[in-house]
Amino acid sequence: MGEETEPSLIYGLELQGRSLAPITADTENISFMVGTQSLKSDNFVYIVTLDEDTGLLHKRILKYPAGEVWSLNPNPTDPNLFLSTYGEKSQDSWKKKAAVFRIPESKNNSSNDEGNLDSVDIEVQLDEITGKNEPVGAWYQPNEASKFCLIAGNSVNYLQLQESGPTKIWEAEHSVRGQTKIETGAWNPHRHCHQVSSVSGSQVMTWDTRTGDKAWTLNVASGSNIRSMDYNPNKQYYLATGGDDGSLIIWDYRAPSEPLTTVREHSHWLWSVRYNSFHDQLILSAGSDCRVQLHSQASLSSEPLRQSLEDDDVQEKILDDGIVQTFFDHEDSVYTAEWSSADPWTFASLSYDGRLVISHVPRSVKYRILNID
Amino acid sequence: AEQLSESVRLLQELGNPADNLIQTFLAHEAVKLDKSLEVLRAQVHLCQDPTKVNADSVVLMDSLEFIDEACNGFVPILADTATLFYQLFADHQGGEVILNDWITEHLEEYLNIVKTRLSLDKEERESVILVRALDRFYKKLSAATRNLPGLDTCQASLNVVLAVTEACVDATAANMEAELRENVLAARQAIAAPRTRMPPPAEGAVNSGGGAVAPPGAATSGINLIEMVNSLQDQIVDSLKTALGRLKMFTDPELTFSVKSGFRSRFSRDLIWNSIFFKQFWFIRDTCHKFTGDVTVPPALLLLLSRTCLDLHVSTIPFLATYTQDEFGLSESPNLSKICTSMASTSQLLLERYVQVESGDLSVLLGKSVEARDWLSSVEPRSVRAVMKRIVEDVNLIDSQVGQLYEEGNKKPRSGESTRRLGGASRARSVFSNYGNLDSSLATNIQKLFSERIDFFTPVKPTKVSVLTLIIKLGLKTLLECVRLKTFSKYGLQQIQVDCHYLQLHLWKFVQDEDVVHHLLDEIMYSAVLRSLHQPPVLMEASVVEVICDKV
Repeated sequence: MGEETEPSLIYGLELQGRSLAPITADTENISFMVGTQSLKSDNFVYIVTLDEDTGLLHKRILKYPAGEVWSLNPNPTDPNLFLSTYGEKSQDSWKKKAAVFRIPESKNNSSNDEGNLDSVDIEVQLDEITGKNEPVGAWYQPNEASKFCLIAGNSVNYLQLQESGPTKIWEAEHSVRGQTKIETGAWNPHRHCHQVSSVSGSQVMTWDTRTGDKAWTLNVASGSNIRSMDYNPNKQYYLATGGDDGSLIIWDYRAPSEPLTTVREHSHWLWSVRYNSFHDQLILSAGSDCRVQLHSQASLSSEPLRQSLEDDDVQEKILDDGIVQTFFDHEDSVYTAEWSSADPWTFASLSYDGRLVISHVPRSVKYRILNID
Repeated sequence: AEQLSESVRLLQELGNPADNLIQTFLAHEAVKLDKSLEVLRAQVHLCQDPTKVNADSVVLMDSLEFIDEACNGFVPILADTATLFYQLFADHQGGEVILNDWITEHLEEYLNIVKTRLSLDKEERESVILVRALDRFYKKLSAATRNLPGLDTCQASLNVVLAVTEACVDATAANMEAELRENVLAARQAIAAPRTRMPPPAEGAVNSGGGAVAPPGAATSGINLIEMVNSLQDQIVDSLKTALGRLKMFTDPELTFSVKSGFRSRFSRDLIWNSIFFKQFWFIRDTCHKFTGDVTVPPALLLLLSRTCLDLHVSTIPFLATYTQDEFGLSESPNLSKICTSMASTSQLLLERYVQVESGDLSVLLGKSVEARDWLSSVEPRSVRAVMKRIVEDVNLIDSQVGQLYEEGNKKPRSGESTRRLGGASRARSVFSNYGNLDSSLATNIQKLFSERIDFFTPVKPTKVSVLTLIIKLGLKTLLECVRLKTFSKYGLQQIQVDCHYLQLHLWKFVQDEDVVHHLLDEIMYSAVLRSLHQPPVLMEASVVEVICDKV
């Protein structure tokens, strides 16, 4: 594997950043949002769209006056709303906060001249919910945009957004000895999003969304911290975690004591793991070793085999397991790599030095999966 | 026998059909044969289960006695019967076939019994007798049946010899495996045991005055790894030599079977090479390999086994192959490439795992120290944080452990300027020496021009410097990642500055290229500056930093 690909598109933000997300609600355009994380200068959110015909990247730059961007989570149905955690700086102090933001309609001037920029505005402040706890992240429920999960400190909150503001449906605590707070969270998209998970240290704890009760737990045997997790969107019970030992681990959470497979291809922390939502054989991982890895775990996917074109009776493997391609486009830690929600074969990655890279699945692999010769 | 002949002849004269006569004759002889086989069978049962109630007070015979019993009972009966048969029924057509069938039937039973009994002799002390017993068995049967037309017992009896030899070889191999398991377990326990204060080995880390020496209270590298490695090597070598010595008895030229080509080639090719030599080294390799996946193993054991596999690959296996060849007078050299390559790669994996575990431990220390502290409300730093001193101690310990087992390796020669004083560092190395006019992005861009990108991917080499470099790189990378997750007040930033300077003073000497340490620490400072609330950041004066670090 690892053959000739279309070249990656590189765009340099002038500031450091660690937040990147696909604009989920936009299923027609390959678009992502990126946030900057600077304590020195003003901060911005970039909406970048890849024009498939010209191969050019269109950018819309918006001011983000609230502070430095720590995370971005777009609304699944409304492309103009997103949840975000940010660092608010004042004279002598700094506080991390969370809010729902709105992207203003474009005024039809394509100028990205700083004087003329629109700003993203806070639509709903979430301070009351987070209270004294430091917000970690907020994720919309994938099938129900009026609900979302907000994690702050050790507390997992399931909230409903109403006219009057956010209301807490339930709250739970996930505290692990030796950890000061939850690291991240993820929605289980199956069965009407009946579960949401939180990660602390080397443990994944999953909550039943309907009740707020603990559903199941999973622990990484080596005790290595988990930094990212993602559920297989097409194969129920399967999920992937990645963490400080550089390993990508795939689990069946019905048998959590023994992982299905462990792949160690990063030489430092694995910061982001994402299943391709159309073809779950493909998994993207990014790490602080400056690498983005495209993996195939076809044998553990929802479609490991298919009927051979030549012989109806024969089942053939679609892809072998292993690294499909390693991407060397970054020179600093890559904290996120995300698939486009419009095109199964395109993804973006962001390294701390502000380098945004748009890359593609190698053509031969794409054709193999699509069964085109 | 005379009476028997007489009876038979009379019956023949009386005109009894020959077939009947033959059957009766053979049946009669069979009774005698079966009786002797019963005795032998009883011996087998007794040997298999010595605790079973022995109603007939049968005494257990050793192998030699057993074979003697057979050679005084079964074998002569068989031989005499055959001789008598030819005397009595010489002119009967097809008589030869009938006799040979009969012999073969009873012989099969005999051979099975002998094979079973002799295969039970697994102890080393029994080998001497076993070999003689096998020889006698083979000789006597050979002699007894040599003159019988149409009957060749050689192959069948040689098969028995081979089967018994194979059982002995397998038992020997199993012993060696058990020994190895014990030896590795003993090593593991010795490593994990609480340290007693032992003098560190002569080739300790070079301390040119600026380095931290482990405080006297702490146990210095109390385990003597080099001794353990040598001891394990010796054990492996001795184990194989002993096994070969024991099996050499089977090739004694005085034995009748050992000179047969059917035995010789099978013995040396299959049994010695495959079942002993290669089997043992693959077992050693597999045992070592398993540790790469074990999360509970103490890292020093990984280091020890990595060195062991390396030595096996480089010298021990070729040496023992030659030894084996010489001992058994074998002309064909075995193909060692597969096992040697595999040993080399297992050695590499174990070393990589060692790096992973040790850097992981350092990372946890560094990570927790940054994560758990409130950097926004720090006070002005007066000292280096304790965790930094701990890190340097741990690196010293790792250095001395690795130094015991692996050669130093090549270091990039230091430039003329002293790197001990922060003020003397060249601009390319440490931009934070000029703290005054600090334009972070310009500084880092200049820095990036001059220094090479830090590479985490070159596989670690079996030298001390390579191992330490990678461990330190990974540990400092963790510190970088953790610093980026925090926000620093003025004094928080200065504490990081002090800590980084301390690390710079003490870590450079362990790595291959000290610029790597400078570069990583500069990156850490740069990231801390980016995360500083005060923009532009206010750093501490270099001289003050020096004083604080010297206080330690």
